[in-house]
Amino acid sequence: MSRIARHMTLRRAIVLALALALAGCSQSSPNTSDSSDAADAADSTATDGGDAGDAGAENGDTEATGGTLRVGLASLSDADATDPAEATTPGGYVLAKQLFDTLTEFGPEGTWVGRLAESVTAGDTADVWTVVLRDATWHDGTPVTSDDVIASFKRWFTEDLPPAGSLPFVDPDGIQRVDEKTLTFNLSYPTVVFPEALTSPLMAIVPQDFDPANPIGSGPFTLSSNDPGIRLTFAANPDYWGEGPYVDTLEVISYADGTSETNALSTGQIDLAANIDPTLIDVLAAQSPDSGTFAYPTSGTLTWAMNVEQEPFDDVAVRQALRLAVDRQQIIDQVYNGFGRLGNDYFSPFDPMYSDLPQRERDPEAAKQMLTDAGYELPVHVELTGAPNQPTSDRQNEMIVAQAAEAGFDITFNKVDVATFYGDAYGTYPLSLSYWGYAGIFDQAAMTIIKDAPWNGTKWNDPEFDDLYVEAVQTLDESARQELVEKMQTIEYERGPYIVPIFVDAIIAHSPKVSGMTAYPNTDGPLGYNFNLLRLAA
Amino acid sequence: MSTVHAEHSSASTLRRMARDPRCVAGVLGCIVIVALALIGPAVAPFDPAAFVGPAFSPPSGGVPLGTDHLGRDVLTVTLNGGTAFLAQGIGGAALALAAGLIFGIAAAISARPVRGALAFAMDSMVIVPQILLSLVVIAAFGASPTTLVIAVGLGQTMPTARVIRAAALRVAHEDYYLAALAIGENPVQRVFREILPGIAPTVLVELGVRLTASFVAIASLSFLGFGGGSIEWGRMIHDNQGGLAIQPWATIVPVVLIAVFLLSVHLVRDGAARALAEAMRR
Amino acid sequence: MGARFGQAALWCARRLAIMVGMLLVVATIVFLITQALPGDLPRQILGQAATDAQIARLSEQMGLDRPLIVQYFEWLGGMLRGDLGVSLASGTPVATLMGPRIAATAFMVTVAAAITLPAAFALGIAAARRPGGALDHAISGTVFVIMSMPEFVIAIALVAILATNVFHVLPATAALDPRIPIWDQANLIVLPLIAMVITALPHLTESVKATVREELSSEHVRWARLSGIPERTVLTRYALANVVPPSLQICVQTVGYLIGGTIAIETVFSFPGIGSGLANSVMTRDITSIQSIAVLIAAVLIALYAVADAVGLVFTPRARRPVGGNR
Repeated sequence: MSRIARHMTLRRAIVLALALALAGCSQSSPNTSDSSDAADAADSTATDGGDAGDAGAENGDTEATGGTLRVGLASLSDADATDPAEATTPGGYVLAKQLFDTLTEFGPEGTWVGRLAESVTAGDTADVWTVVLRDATWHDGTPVTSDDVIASFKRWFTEDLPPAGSLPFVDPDGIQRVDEKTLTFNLSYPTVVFPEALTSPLMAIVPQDFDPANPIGSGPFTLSSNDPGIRLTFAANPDYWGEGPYVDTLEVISYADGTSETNALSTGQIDLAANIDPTLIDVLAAQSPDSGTFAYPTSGTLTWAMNVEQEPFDDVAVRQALRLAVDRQQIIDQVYNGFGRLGNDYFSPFDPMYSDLPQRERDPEAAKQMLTDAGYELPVHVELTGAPNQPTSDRQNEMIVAQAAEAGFDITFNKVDVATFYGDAYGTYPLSLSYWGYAGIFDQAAMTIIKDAPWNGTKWNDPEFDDLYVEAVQTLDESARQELVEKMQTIEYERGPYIVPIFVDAIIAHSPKVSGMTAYPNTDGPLGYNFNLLRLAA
Repeated sequence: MSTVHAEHSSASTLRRMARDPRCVAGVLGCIVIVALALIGPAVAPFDPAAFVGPAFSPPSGGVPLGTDHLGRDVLTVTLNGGTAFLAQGIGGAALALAAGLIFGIAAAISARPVRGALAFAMDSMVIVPQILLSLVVIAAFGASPTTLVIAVGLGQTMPTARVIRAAALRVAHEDYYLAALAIGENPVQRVFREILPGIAPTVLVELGVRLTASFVAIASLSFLGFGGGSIEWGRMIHDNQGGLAIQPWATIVPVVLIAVFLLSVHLVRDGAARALAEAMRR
Repeated sequence: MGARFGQAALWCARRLAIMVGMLLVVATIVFLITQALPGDLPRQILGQAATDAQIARLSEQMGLDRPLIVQYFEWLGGMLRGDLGVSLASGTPVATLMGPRIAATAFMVTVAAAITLPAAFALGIAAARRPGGALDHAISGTVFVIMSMPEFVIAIALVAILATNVFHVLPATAALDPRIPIWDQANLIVLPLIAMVITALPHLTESVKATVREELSSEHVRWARLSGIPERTVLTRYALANVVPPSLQICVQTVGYLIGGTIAIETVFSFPGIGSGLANSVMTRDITSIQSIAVLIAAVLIALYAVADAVGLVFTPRARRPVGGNR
């Protein structure tokens, strides 16, 4: 933790003025690693069969282009949506990222940059934002215009699609076309969160006459064939406005799990295994010494949610005691094979404003004392509900059961499947494990922490925190906002409902022929699903 | 008379089994595995929840079989994982056999319309993919050891019932059964005095079949990720097979134990079937 | 002759009625158990952030808000017309969605059955002819060992031995490209095929062996041998005639296992078959897909059982004929 925290403190110097126009920023070759960003590069580990070590963000041989890149993914699903606004699965995200563009994205630095938008700039009060689009065309050759953007936003609200729920400050009637490439957003209330909130692949911009059955977008690839749950085939969009794609064809192939993905890579059936289990890295090295792995830290986290409406987590002492019971380093060592970073019970380590509070260390004796002082008889019984929503979920849940036993807790692990987990009982579990992250501090708060946040399974409701949040998102002044954020995160640290034990690394395994791997620390999915940056040697 | 016949046959069957070296080997194998499962937790070198090294470390001094996917001692986990595995498998088989006996016998000796309806229902249920039944039970009630037993037992009830029914029907056509019917024995008496002794050989063989099928089904469901939270051998295979290339022991040890146990059950079952066949012939 | 034809027609009609009845029962059971699944699909599709209004709207679109009985009869009506319905999870017809899986499984099962059934009969008869002989021991021993291992263990062992760790001769996974004919990707399916055959063999072999052995020690075979009929004729004419009908049932069971029971093998190889399709649909609560696949599998099995019965009937009269009688 301390490492990231220090890094983040340094980062504060490189403050990103939110009103700053980002013109050209993302164009400046996103896959070159900034040397001042040593921490990033140092934290990304790459191994190669030979000793030609990849750098953190490597450029590879720039000449290699063309060919068919086969990417293994665990797993595609029948439920993968071709409508980006309805993407909820990894396959849906893959489709959204290849076929479409969002206005903004979290770049390799972990901060937001323009994507389809050349610039996103605030007025004086953060309730009026101007978006200027870059010159891009749809797959059918017609230009992307302000009208398409307006139609996309209106579609979310009139059809009540999921993005509408994440954009409470957007008034669909307050979007005005200025010219073909420029539009202004008059928000319902001022917020600095606006550009960050548009980074999710769900917010991809689609043409006015969008048809999910024939998904035409502006993204780096077009969809050649779609066999739901089995395989997706894409063709390069030669007219893509941005970098790449360097390969002619992209195939995304579904595998049952990381093990068969690794096997497929070892026997040359795929060129890149999109997200492998940390423990499989050594397996791959043993099976297939030629292949390499590319790993980088992310803001993604498997976080325990403590429901404050359920006993015993209605008592802050119990919440704090359980936080003390968790041995974070042990989780990183045992479950993640060292490929993870310490968490400190608040989110978004790649946000420039991430606070540097003292790292919480494990102290089972103190935890027991806290429980006894609060009048509990040991052990305190807790039911933990978990689903295998990530390959490491079950293991992480088993860890807390074992660790908390030494701190006066008796945790029963109730294992359910993913559909049951997110079913009707969601939000009633006393203790559960969720997979989150890949968002800025404010977005994360809006989604999971503030009162009535859509994904707040903890029912936590802290007026002081909510007031600070509302004030902070409206504060344009950088240092004033920084202070408010620190207060917010201190509240989370002292009485919040989440145990954020670790932040996971993304791990990609690849054949020696693949180059162009780029870390996207604040974007879900391997390489942020930016497969357009990948090259394939003959 | 039928009781005498059955008792005589089971005594001689046991004697025959005791003289059959393969059957004896099977019994010994079962005893060894069950003993290992029962004594295991007491003799394990570590706490089963203790983390003794990095995940998938190869065997070393204090850790003779290396570590598993979480860095626990494979030997300790193995010694602790037998009871749950055996209990679940036996539970599943017992459930399938008990339910199968009830349905099967009912379908053989009840009044004609009931008999027909039951037989028809059984033949239909057998057609429903078993894996669907199991998956739905697990999805509906969560993946606990109990639901696993129910899922596996339920999936096998109808196949068992059909076998029992066929055997019970044969008995129902035997002279001694018809005689019992003629002298006015009530259905309960008939079931316990005539049918059960008469189908005992089939039940014994079927128990063997269901035991192995249950263990295989539980191991498979565990492998597919539907296992319960407890440590057991089937789950060990699921959890550790990814590391086969670097730490094979974490997978091979439970595989060998399961295979030895199932092989032993097969040997006993086969021995029993042979002995019964011989006894019948006399 | 006419009477016999009439009998046969009656038998067929009766058999057909039973088949349809069974299918209806199976369909009803499947429909009812899918209703027991917790968690609903609209919530799955819309994600955790969905509001109750969004979920209600989607439920309405999918027709999930209608009374159960209406849903049941609409689905049943569709099935009777051969319409598998529309997958709730993807919005595409189940036939389109599952088409590649059905084709892949059909191909694999056909090939696996074409290898397994004759092999099992050959091995079973060979082992039964000389009980206690070396061949019997070798076959029974192997059969026992294989039966003692869950199928995924065999699959994993095959991958480790032939693909990733010991020899590197075959691809480790079978993620077929649905756009290319399967026979053009034959190298991919070798390992799963071997795994399927190995796991399907023992049960049938054992049962053939047991039946043949029982038959060979039966009164009429003993009588035939005593009357000096050559052993080969005894075997083919007297024993096999009685072995085939009961074994046919086990053959269908074996095929049934190959169709729907090899999901663990499919998982090891990431093979896009119908078993994993069914499991995925349970996971996503795509109840139309679950119902349609389950009923489709059931229909195939019922048809196969009918064929087995018909074939068995052809054998039975001969088997019942007094031993030594004229043809």
